[in-house]
Order: sequence, then C-alpha cells, then structure tokens
Amino acid sequence: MGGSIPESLIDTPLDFDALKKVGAPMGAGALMVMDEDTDMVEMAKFFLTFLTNESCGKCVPCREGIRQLLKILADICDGKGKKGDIEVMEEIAEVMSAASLCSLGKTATDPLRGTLKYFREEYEANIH
Amino acid sequence: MGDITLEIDGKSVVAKEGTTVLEAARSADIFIPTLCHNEMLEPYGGCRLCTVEVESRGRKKLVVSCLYPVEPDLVVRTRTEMVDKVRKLILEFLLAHAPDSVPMNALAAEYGAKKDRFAKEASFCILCGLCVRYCAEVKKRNVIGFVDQGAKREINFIPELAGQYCWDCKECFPLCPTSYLQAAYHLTHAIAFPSLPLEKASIGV
Repeated sequence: MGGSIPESLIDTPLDFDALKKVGAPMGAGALMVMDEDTDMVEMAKFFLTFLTNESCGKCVPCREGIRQLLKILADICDGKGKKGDIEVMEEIAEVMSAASLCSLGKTATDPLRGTLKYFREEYEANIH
Repeated sequence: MGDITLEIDGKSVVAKEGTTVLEAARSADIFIPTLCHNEMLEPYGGCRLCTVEVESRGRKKLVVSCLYPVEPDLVVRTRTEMVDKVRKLILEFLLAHAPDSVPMNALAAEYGAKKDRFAKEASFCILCGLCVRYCAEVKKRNVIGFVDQGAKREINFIPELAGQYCWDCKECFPLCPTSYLQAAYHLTHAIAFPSLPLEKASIGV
C-alpha cells in the first residue's frame, strides 16, 4: 500500500530499492504530495478504511487486525488516544505482516508504519 | 508417492509426499493448534493459528502448516517467539467475538492470550468456515455461505434451502468452535418459517 516520507527525504530517488530502504515501499505507484496542514494520523486512518473494504475477510490477521487498528486510530483522531496505543498498533502491524494470507494483509500496515516512523509526534500529541 | 524425511521441533519425522506439515506433525504426536482445520475438509488457511516457522535451504519464513507441503530436509519449528506472538494475538482478536468458546479459552491459557484485551464485539462467529465448507464439500448443499467481505463478512443460511435440508441434517452444528451456528440457524428458522414450532428444530448438542 506504500508508505510516507517527510520533507527531509524529498530527494529520495523514485526507485523501488531506494524507497524500500527509507521504509516507504512503492505500493500501487501513486504519488501523493501533502503539506504541513495534513493530519498524518487521519491519513493512516483513511488508508486503513480503504483497505478494510478491500479485504476479503478470510484470514484473521487481516480482517481483525485492520478492525482493531481502525478503532485505535479513530480514538487517537478524536483526541482519546491512550498510553500504549502505539505499541499495540505496532504489535498488530508486525503480526499482520508476518501471518496474513495474501499481500493485501501483509502490506496493509505500510502506511501506518511509515507515519509511525516519520510522524510519530503527531500520534503522541493526541495520546494523553 | 515416496517418503520424505523432515525435522519438526528437533524430531526426525517421516511423511508421505504431498502431505502437509500439519499432518506430519500430528502423525508424530507434535501438537499444532488449529481452529479452521478439519480432516474431513480441504485445508483452508483462514485462522492462521497453525502458523509455524520453516527453514528451507537456509531461509526462514512463517507459513501455515495446514497448507504447507512437506519437503525433504525441511526444518520446522512450532514454538518460536514470533509463532507464539502470532497465535496469542489471533486468539485475542477472536476472543473479542466469542469470549466463551471452550477450545479457544483452552488455547488462550497456553499462549497467555488475554480475552478482554480488545473490546467485545458480540458477533460470536469467528468465521472459521467449518460449517460453510462442510455443507459445500461433504453435503454438497451450499445451504450456508459467507456474505460480504472484510470486517463485514458473516455467515448466512439461505432460508429456502435451509427449510429443505437443515431440519434432518444439522451435522455442521457440532463442528462450530463457538455457539453461534445454532443461534444463526434458529434465527433463520424463525424468520423463514414462523409457523413451525421452534422446539421441533432444536437438537441436543
């Protein structure tokens, strides 16, 4: 599903290996540019909402993983994030990548991982 | 169909070509937990609980043992840190739907899964598909099936077919790892055939 990088990495070559190295795999090949007003937690929620509708629902890590991630992200977006939420999301992301049946589930958490890596402070700002 | 020798948890196991790692492990009394597996049915790979680590030609990866075929010199590890982590989280996901399931609670104790980690969602069904596949593969009726997708996926009886076949069958009921299936049938029954007394349809499972 692709990842996201901050302004400081804008000169990264548009290349599979280079993007993979910075933790932002190419995904479907679309390129989106956002400014400083974009809420990156909202973006992660947006991508996972899209993916829960794309998921077939056959395997547990993908179906239930996205379900739980979306609940946590909705809370964080509403300013109701709890201490430990980021760690739970990281655990779910790790298990989804390792144990999902197909590539949709295996890569569904790429946008989440990317934003957690480069825009972690936006999550932390909403966790009290 | 020659015999293949592989290693599971340090134990040398001989299995027939074309069989799965899960079958090989069970033949050697090595326990791998499953929720969607049943020997009467084709392997499904939906619950992912039987995930194990395999090492082949120096490369390690996680696979589901119910689908992965045995190969010569394969090294299988059924209890690595990552395998246990996957199983624990899967059980915690599913216990949010079916907190009273007896087989899942037994496994939760083994893997340290906490049943109240995720908020309860009283859907009861864990979508293992045992009923759906039993009806399709063994009975060849397709009375019950999956509808919708992603988080909205659920099982549903087709009322017209249920009225025709389920009354005298109900063989899928004991396969259910939760108590949801009978409830779904009774609901279908009540909606589709309100004139028939419900107690006639109940069975003592």
